[in-house]
This record gives sequence, structure tokens and C-alpha cells, in this order.
Amino acid sequence: MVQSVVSGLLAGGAYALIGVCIVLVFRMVRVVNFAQAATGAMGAYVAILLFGSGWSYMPAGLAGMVAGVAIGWLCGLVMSQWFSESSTVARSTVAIAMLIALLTLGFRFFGTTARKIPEIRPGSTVNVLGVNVGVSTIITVVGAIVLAFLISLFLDRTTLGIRMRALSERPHAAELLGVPAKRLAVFVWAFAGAISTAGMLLIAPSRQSDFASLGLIVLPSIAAASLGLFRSLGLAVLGGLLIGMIEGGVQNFSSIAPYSDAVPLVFIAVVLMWSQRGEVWDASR
Amino acid sequence: MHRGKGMVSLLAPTLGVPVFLLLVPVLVSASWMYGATSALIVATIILSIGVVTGHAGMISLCQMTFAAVGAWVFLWLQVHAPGVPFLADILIGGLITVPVGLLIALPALRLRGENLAVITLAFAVALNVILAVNDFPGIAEGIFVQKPAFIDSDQSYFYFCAVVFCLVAGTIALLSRTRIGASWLAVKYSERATAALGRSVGRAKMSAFGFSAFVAGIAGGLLVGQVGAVTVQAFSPLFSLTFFALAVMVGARYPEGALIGGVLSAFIPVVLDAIGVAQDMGDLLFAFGAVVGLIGGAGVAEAIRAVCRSKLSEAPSHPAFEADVGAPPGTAAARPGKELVSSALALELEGLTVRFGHVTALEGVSLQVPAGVVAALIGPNGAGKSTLVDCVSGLIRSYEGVIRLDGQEIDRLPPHRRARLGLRRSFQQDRTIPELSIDQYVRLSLGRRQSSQLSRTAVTEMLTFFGCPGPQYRVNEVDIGTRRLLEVVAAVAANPSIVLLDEPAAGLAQSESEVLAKRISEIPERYGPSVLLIEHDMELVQAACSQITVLDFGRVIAYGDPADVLADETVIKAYLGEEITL
Repeated sequence: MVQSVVSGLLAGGAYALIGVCIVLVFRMVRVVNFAQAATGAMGAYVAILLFGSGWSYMPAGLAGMVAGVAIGWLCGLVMSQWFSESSTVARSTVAIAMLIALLTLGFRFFGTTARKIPEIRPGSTVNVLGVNVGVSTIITVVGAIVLAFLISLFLDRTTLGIRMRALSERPHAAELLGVPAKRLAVFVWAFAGAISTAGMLLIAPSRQSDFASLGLIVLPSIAAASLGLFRSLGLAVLGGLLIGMIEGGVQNFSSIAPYSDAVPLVFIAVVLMWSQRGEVWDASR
Repeated sequence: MHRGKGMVSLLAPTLGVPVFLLLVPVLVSASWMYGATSALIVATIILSIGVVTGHAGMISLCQMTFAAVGAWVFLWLQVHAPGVPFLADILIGGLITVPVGLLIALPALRLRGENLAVITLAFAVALNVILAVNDFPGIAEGIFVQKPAFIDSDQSYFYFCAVVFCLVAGTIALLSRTRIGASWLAVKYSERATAALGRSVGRAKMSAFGFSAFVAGIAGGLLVGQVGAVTVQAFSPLFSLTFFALAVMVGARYPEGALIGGVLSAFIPVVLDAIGVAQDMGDLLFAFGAVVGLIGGAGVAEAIRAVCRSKLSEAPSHPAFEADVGAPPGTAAARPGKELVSSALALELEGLTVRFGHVTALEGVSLQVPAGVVAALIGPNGAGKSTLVDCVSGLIRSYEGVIRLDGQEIDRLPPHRRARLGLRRSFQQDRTIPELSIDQYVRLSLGRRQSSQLSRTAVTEMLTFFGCPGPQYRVNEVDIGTRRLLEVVAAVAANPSIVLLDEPAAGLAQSESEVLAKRISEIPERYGPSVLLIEHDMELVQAACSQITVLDFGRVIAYGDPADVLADETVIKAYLGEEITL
């Protein structure tokens, strides 16, 4: 039982990484980026192609992250150019359209079949208190926690970070105060593209790694972000690890193991229904 | 003239779509019939998205999952109840999908925007997993659906799907002219205003999701009937996403939009193939099209309709109307008001207290509005006037104290029940529904029986009385100030015991405001309801009201005749911002 819960931590860490990206983008531009995992998958596949053609792991991974930055930058540009003033429904629809576009391009460039994906440190595990933990698991989980901590520190302590918070809480007021809204928003999208690429590279080896499956990892990641109502980085990390561990634990029960992909639904339903139970009316007064 | 031409633009798709579908098999070769049928089935799915998203403004990313449920039930009946006819299988499939739709509507009562999108997508993925594990009935046994003889050929099955599509589109068109359809549009714009019109927000959302699931479930059955056997891949969540984007791109609310969407989804891949581009690039086109449609603010069908409308009608976009400052027209048309018993109270508040955290917004407010009276509630900014209106109308439920309407305690009732009992309100911001005609909007606030009793002449008379254009115009054709008067008309038309008017003169010119004061003062005598007027404009208040209550910092500081109250020192101080010494 403990072993299977711990083995779910790798996925959980990746959900946490992408969940952090989703929170970051949501806080900047108030849209749930449905394309976040697909952006990462795109970057990861670029890295894998380069790796396959003889590059060593690290340079290939960095090149993939650059690709993730490019895609994130492009998506952010579209969103902030035309939809910064649009309704939630319109912005969500654009994010969904981005997901469709990236999935379609992914199928085209990389095919629909699963690929063999290299691990960062193949097969190496560490024994912690009698439980085997993969090195990539440790990298992912620690990475997610450190990242969330660093971003929080950045948002709280630096001038740029405080400007970004102002932007997320009072976009118009921030713009009037001279905060370059568009540039900052696009920067955040690009940054999130890089991080989600890293998350994807870490999780892909242990996953059904066809492009669509990787793109739909956005769902558990969104579920993770929903724990903090898309606003808290720490809770997003916690949510991701929780979902990963639940999915891992579920593998112990053969009768429900095939349904582990339904875990995010249960998680989202419980979290959102509970946190929004008082929202009887819509925003328009 | 305008109306006649408006009917032309409305009738064109209603007749055009069936005629077009009738001609398709004549125009295209037999080898295309299968693709044409697929187009119709996708078009039906898009119609189902049009109900939830186009009409009611809720994002649903699980429409193919609804279709899967319909298909599953259809196949189960085919395998386990071979005696049941084909048509009944499809219909039952649709009906059993309804409770699934209602189940998804439950979270929609609290979740909106991105949250609703997230949970519907999660539902789609989860159900897809369940279906992948348990497969559709009869598939493992290799059972192939046998269609009855009369729809066995590609062409006859196309006609069959065309009939279903037209029935669905026709039902949606009919529904959108009823109060159910109007309440779908209403929740899209404002839930509070929907409730204030006496419509239940919950019922509007549930009915939209339920009906949409029914349509999608039927489409699922049609799909299995066409293909003969299906796997779970046919209902992948990715298709739900693609069709959602397609629906936004084409304007799914209208049958011609849905049809365009269906045709695009079936034939873009063929065209792409012909010009040597990979078929799946079609999805990229739809995603791109949806984004372009959103930038332009309209789907294909909306754009076409807008062009047709502007071509057909040369009427000015802002209909000219004259506020009749003189004697009110035709008093004979006025309905007798409710019996005026001078001692009866239309509205009574007793010790109303509201706290938001540590802030006390209202503190022990008591207020009485007798029947047949125009009373005013005034007070400086932040005095708690709007909070009071929200409490009385039921939008804020966590208050202490008692509210009585016609002597009956209404504290336990939700806002739409209060509205129906005879407590109506208007809003500070424009909360009309731009896509309805003025007649539809006014009737949305009435009960079914009330609506059938209120003639069009009577509606026209009321509109003229308040200086609004005729009932045939669309709400979005009139200016904002006039729209706020439409809210007043709708509230009064419901023949309530009292109407709460929240700054109705905001956005009106001085001269219009004077006319409005005169009209408001005549409401009780002419139409029956008492009025509680919340206003900043002191001239309007003095001209229209016979009693005034002044609120400051959540407390009543003065009450009585207008002349006395406005001369009161505490009131003057409150307005001038000095510290009050009570």
C-alpha cells in the first residue's frame, strides 16, 4: 500500500508542477489554461526528438524548454492581444481552442502512437525508510515544492513580483499605475511553458506517452490547482501530490484500479462544490 | 413594415433549412450521402451545445459524453430488448440521458465560467474511462445494428436524420419564444435579474442542461444507427472539445449555424484530403475559427443574421418615440388596481439587520409602505439602500428581522417566489435581456395565465405610458436609459403588490426625469402596485412621493412627509456629511 502510494508521487509531482503553472497563469490573466499540459507535451516531444537524434539528455531537455517558452509566448500573445477584456466564457473558449490546436499539431508532428521516452536517471532508486523511491520522483516533488516556494518569494519580495500581483488583482488600476500589463502577462505564459515542459519530461517515461494522453494530464493538474481555487501556489502543490497519491493508492484495489483516471473528477467535484457552495448568484449585479 | 420584414428574416431559416435538406440527395451524388448524414448528426450535437452555451451561456464540454449515454442505452435496447422498435430505442436513449444532464446541471447551480468548464471536462474524461473499461453492449458479441427497412438505405437514413434535425431545431425555435427559452437567455445575462423577474434560475439551468442532454442523447443513437457499431473512441472528450469550438465558431443557437458546423466537420477533412493536406488539420481550422469568431464577437450564423437584418430593415436603429408629456393616453385601457384598503400595508419591515463580517450594513430598520402609496427611501451613498432592496427582494438571505408582503411573512422564500407573490424590483444597472423583443421581455416577468390575459394592446399602452417604444422592437435597439424604464414596465406589468425601483432615473435627461416622476406617482392609482422609490434625485422624489424614509449608516434617521423630512436638520447634516448627533 505505502509503496503504491509513494509510486503515485512521481505523477503527483508533475501534476503539482503543471498545477503551479496553471495557478500562475490564472492569477495573471484570469483564465484556466486548458492548454498548459499540451504546451509542455509539445516541448517534451521536441526534446525527445532531439534526444533520439543523438543529443545528450540535458541539452535536449533545455531545447525542449525553449520550445515550451515559444509556444507559451505565442498563446499568451493571442490571449492578451485580443481577449484581455473578454468574458470568462470567451477566454475559457480560447484556452480550449488552444488545447485543440496543440493536440492537432501534436498528432501531426509526432503521430498518435506512444513513444519510448528516456528517463532522466534510468532505473535509479533510493531506499527511504524501507520504501523504494525513484530519483525522478524526488526531483519532481522537490522541484515542485521549491518552485512554488521561489515563485511565492518572488511575488512577495521583488518589485517585479509585486507589480505582477497588482496586475492580477487590479488589472486596470495596475495599468494606470504604469505596469506593463501585456508584457508581464506574456512573460508569465512563456515561463509557464518552460516549467510545464520540465514537468512533462519527468512524468512522460512512466506514462502512456502518446500525445493526447499527455495533453490530457492537464485535467489532474487543473484539479490540483482547484484546491487553492487557482490562487494558492502551495495548495496547488499539495493538491497535485494528493491526487498522485490517491491515484497510486487506487492501484491497490483491482476492482477500481482501471478507473484511476476518474480520480480528478471526484477531487474537482468535492473541492469546487464545497468551496463554491455559497456562490448562489453570478457576478453581474 | 419593420415587423413584416423582421418576419421574413425569421422565416427564411425556418423554411430554408428543411427545403435545403430535402434537396441535398437530389444535388449531391449517392456516394456523398453517408458523409451528409454524418454532417447532420454533428449538426444535431451542435444544436445541443447551442441550448446550453448559446442560449443559457454555460460552458459544457461533455456533450459527446451525453451522446455516448444515448448510444449506450440505444445499443442495450437493441441487444436486450429486440422487440422494441428502432425509433423507440433512439427516443428512450435520449430520455435516459436527461437525468444524466440534470446531474451535471447540479454543479452548474453553483459553478460558473471556467469552473463549470473544468467539471464538465472532468466528467467527460471520467465517463470515457468507465465506458472504455465496460464497452458498449453487444460490441464484444459482434452484434451489428439492423435498421428497419424504411430507413435502410443511405439516402433514406439521411432523410430520417434530416427529419430529426428539423424537429429538434423546430422545438428549440418554439421553446425560445416561450418563457422557458427566454429564461435561458435571462440567466446568460444576469441570474439576479432572472430571479427578480419571477423565474427560477435553478429551473432555467436544469431545463437547459436536461433538454441539451436529451438532444445529444438522440444524436448518439443516430450515430450508432448510422455506423452500425461503435467504440468508445467515437465519443472521446476530444470530440466534445472540438464540437464546442465548432459551435462557438458557427453560432450554434441557430439551425443554419448548426448545419454549417455539421457540413464543415464532415467535409473539411474531405476537402483537405483532396488538396493534399492531412485530414486532421480540420480541427486546427475549427480552433482557429472559434478564436476568430470570438475576436469578431459573433459566430457565422449570428453574422449572417445581422447582415440580413440590416439589409432588410431600413428602420433607424434607435426607434424614435415621443414621451407624451401631456395627459396620459387612454385611461380606459388602464386596469383596475388592487382594492385599496387604506390601512393595509403592502410592505412591512421589522428590525431588519444585516452584517457583512464586522460591518453592520443595516441595523434594526423598520419601514412600512401602505397599499396604494408611492414612498421613497433616500440616504447618502453607503447608507444601505441597495442592501435593503437586496434583502427585501431575497438576494441577501442572511438577515435578521421580518419582512411582510401584504401581511404575509416572506423571509423563507427565495427571490423568484417573492417576485411571484407580488414583490418586484428594478436594478441600478441595466439588467434587461438584449436579445429579446420588448414584448417577450415584459411577458417573461408574468405567469402563464397572466401573460395570456394581458393583451398586446395593454402592453403597448403601458409602454407608451412610460415613454418606451412599441413591443415589436428588440431590447438592444433602445438606449440604456429607456432599457431601465423597460424594467419598470416589466415589474409593473406583473401586477404586484409593490415595486421597488432602484434609481430608475439614472441615465435620463432632466426633462425625461420630470415625466418619469409624474408617471411613477400615478402607478398605484393606474395599475395597482405601491411603489418604494430609491433615488438620489430629490426633485424626482418630491414630485412623485407622499412619504419619505431616510437611511444613514444603516439606520432610519427620519420618516414622514416629504416637506418635513427634507427640512429636518439631521437629514440635511447626513447629506452634507456632518457628524450626526441624535
